[in-house]
Amino acid sequence: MSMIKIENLYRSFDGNEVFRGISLEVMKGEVLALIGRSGCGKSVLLKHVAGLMKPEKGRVVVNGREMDVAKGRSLTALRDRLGFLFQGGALFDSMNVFENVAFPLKEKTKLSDRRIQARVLEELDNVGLSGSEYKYPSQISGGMVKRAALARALVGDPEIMLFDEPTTGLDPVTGHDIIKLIDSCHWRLHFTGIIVTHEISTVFTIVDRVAMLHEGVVWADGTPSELFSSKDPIVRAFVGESGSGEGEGGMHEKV
Amino acid sequence: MKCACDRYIFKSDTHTIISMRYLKTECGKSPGICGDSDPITAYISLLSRFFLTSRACSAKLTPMFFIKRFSTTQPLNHSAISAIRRSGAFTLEYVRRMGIMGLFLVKAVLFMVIPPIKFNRFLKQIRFIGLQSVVLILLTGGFTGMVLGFQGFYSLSKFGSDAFLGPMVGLALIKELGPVLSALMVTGRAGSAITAEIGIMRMSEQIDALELMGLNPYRYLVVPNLLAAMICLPLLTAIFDVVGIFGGYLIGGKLLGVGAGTYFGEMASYVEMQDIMEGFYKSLSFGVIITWVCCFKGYYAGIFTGFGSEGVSKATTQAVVLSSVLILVWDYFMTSILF
Ligand SMILES: Nc1ncnc2c1ncn2[C@@H]1O[C@H](COP(=O)(O)OP(=O)(O)OP(=O)(O)O)[C@@H](O)[C@H]1O
Ligand SMILES: [Mg+2]
Repeated sequence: MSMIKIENLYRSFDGNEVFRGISLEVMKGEVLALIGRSGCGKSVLLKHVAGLMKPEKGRVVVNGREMDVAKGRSLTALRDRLGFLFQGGALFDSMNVFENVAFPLKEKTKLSDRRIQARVLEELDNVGLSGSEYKYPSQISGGMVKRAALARALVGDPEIMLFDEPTTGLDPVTGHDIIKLIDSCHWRLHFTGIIVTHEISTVFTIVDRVAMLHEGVVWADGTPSELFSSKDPIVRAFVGESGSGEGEGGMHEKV
Repeated sequence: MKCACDRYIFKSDTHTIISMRYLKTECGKSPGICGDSDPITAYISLLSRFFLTSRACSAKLTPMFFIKRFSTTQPLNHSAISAIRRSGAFTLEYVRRMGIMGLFLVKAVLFMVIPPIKFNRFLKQIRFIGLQSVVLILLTGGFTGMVLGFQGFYSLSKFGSDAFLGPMVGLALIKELGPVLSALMVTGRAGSAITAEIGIMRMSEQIDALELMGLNPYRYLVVPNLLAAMICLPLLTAIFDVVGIFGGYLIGGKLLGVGAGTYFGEMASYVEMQDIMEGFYKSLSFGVIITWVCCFKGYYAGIFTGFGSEGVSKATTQAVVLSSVLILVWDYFMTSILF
């Protein structure tokens, strides 16, 4: 069953055609890596999936509901099951880290304060932020903002997770930990996910499929090993050098 | 359309029909015999093209049209059309924005009357808009009253009626200066901060994050401000009026020698409840105007004013200017209605 389905999506910004017919499908429980050059529209695509932007043409269907016509209750119901990690974190800067992570629980659930506190502290510990709970977003580093935002996205146990560059700006060790964290969350929650990333070598080890955006269309789509063995020059340029050496089995192949 | 001359024909058919016989194109043939069709078919196709082109059909075929058309090989005056088109697009865009702005207020009021109100944020905004403006209001109110004391005394003593200083200061403050000046002060102090805060939240996708949690940004960002301003502005205006009246007394009574009994007694007999209500209604509506404009500008920063810190600063400037202007314009209408 497909959880996220994008059909023939068109979108342009002031004459700049970002999408020229994107079609993409993500099955329930599947994790997809979305790759592509900077500025090719990966973040914009995630925003279309979340219903923050409306397509000019085409459809976005999430869990059987059309995102672009969903309104009011049904949209809220959809979004309650959705977690989104923004590229810039988007932490509320008037709240400290703890309040930020606790905010969705406080506003959306009827959990007691003690349960919320336990849950939030656990999640912050998972992302390696224990000790910085009471700092404000402006007082912590960019990588810490990212991790706090990740904790906030994961704290509601979402069924669909959209990660916009979860590891960018992190050192390799923390980045690796975050990818492992996402993977273990996936095993626990079985969410359907899209991970936008530039770090092919680590992310490809935990995803089921990879889609590559190029020139406004899905240029390549397949399992990580299929992409590594692709002969398409553009795909090769992207995954060729950075990917070889680790990860999936099917990649030590003809150059 | 294989040869350059054919492209030429296509570009300015009407011109070509008339002068086809004299025209030599780049390939040296006359355009009619260009390509593989004979002159007569070419001529007919040209004619039909002439009558089918939208520009030829839509324009009236008056002599003036032909003169204009043939005096130049350029298509019909391009710059004029694009100027009209641009001004049309500009107007449409502004009408659209005004519509969005109106809708913004409607939504804000709607979410204000439908229950769940974010009480914490509401209290926080009361503190910010109300409490933290008090010193500013005391200061400006006091000095405004003192100036009124001087100026009023100067004018009134020319007619020998300086006993009426009290009612003059009182009425000027309660009906006009109190509501307007405190609204302008709040715009400058709190309004600009509201726009900047919401604008930065928009830029850093915090509003999107709120929306994605299934929470209504109006409830969190707009309604608390609206309610707080509607409560705080009348109160701040009242403080402004009282301090101003005492400021006037300080100058008129203590310095220039109008007696306290005269000052306050005449004021009490000339200022009516209706005047006080006028000031109250004004300050209430100014509260709505300030939060409406400032929240709107912040909320649509990035969409209407460009991105980044420049977008926020532009939005803040526009918010302060627009709400100040709206306050004065609306004040005129309120006065003329309540007069
Ligand atoms: N709100 C917007 N208004 C106008 N143009 C936009 C807007 N958002 C994105 N764009 C344009 O859409 C294109 C895609 O942007 P997007 O942020 O999706 O890139 P990206 O693939 O996420 O890049 P990166 O890897 O650098 O994050 C860019 O050319 C950008 O200029
Ligand atoms: Mg991006």
